[in-house]
Amino acid sequence: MIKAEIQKISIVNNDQKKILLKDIFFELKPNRIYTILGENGSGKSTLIKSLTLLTDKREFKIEGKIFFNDRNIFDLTENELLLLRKKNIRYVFQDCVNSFDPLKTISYYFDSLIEDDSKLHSMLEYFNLPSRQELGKLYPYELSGGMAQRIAIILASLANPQLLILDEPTSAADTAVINLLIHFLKEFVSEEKRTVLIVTQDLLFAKKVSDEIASIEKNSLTAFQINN
Amino acid sequence: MSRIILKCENISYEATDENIFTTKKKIILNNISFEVVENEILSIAGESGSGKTTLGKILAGILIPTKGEIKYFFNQRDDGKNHQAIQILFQNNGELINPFRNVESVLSEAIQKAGSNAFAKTVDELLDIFSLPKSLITQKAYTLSGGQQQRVALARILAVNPEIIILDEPFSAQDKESVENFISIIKTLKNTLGKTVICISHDVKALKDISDSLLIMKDGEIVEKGNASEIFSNPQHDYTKFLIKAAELELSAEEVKTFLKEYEQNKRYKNS
Repeated sequence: MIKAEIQKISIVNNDQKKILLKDIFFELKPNRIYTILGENGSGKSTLIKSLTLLTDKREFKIEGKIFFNDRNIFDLTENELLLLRKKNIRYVFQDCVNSFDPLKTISYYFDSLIEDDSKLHSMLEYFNLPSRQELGKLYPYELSGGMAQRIAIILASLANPQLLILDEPTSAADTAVINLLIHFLKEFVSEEKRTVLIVTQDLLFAKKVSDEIASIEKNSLTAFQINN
Repeated sequence: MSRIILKCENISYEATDENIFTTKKKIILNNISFEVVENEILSIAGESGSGKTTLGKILAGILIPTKGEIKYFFNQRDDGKNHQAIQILFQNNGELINPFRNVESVLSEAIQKAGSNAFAKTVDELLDIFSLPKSLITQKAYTLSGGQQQRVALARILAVNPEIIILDEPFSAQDKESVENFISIIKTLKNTLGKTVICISHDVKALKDISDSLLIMKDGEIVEKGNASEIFSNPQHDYTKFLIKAAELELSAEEVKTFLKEYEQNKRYKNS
């Protein structure tokens, strides 16, 4: 489904180039949960952002090819890229409170993004969140980090993407919610043509949730190994 | 001989939530009693909203409890600055130190203020204890990493030679390696430096290796307290069992749901 052949991701800074990651080769298949482990500053977040060219062009230079359903992402027009990020590959970033527009209430997102009300209702209930009406009244600053993250996960997954990418999903969540998240993600990939990619440094979480695990070591990504 | 150095007797704390229309009273802590023994690591565990941080602030004398009393049994200090005997390290790693001051001025000021009680005579000594490089001295606080700032802030606390050091969520927002580093620092505080440590955290996993005694808190109440290894190997209260199992990520979706539902109902019942 997605296949990455990245020779180099380098940081461009005042004409100086520093290689952040090199020789990244992997392929993600449907119905599986993949996890990339790595320490702070190892380039995990940059790697997943580069999959849809979300990285700042002035700051990062990506050399290589990334195929999504056999089309090279570098060949897509800006509009096609936007559509890809809207329909096919969705992210849940680490700092979820800032993923929302601070001047809009949550109802804006529910109203504009979600058609299936019953599904939203059951997911809010699953993640132990208040009702659509109650949540809708709140501004992002009124949410806790953990709540914002759960809402972001719901919004991303209801868009029905082929690839759901989560950046450090356990950093803001209570342990009880992490338990819920594990079951939710397993359920999510059980449906047709769906894949989850997680980056984290939480080893226990990775062991519990993943089908395959790789790690970033010495500026490169190891091969994905089956987790049992 | 283990000596009791702090006694918490029937502490309650009520917060008032005021706006122009209504005044609501909310019980944050309800009838908390426990003792702290000299040179132990006492951990306070519980989920967010259980009142852990409020309890920490009350122990440090920042908040005054609505009811109840805290008794301290510290050695009298030479210069009478007894309020320095209990110090708290707050949670927000990046905001602990004035970002525009350098490490030397931060630490030397603390040494100076502590006067005859100071734990160390020089800044270098303090840096050594927390294995911070000497090159940090001239650096401004904002250039330090979160973990370094945390250690500098802890060094500043140690400078005034407190009897009890309270750590509020010291493991949050850190990678695995930093958590392990900080665990060894906590052990140094206890074993080498002879300090008493109160460690507040929601991370039951991290607390397991360090705690001598343990308090489990839920909705402002202590649900279980006692020897930490006994509680970890044989938890009595359902909530403690839930917390430990949740930390090991062993709960089924149903177990979490049932628990959260009960939790919500109790909360509604309490607030009405």
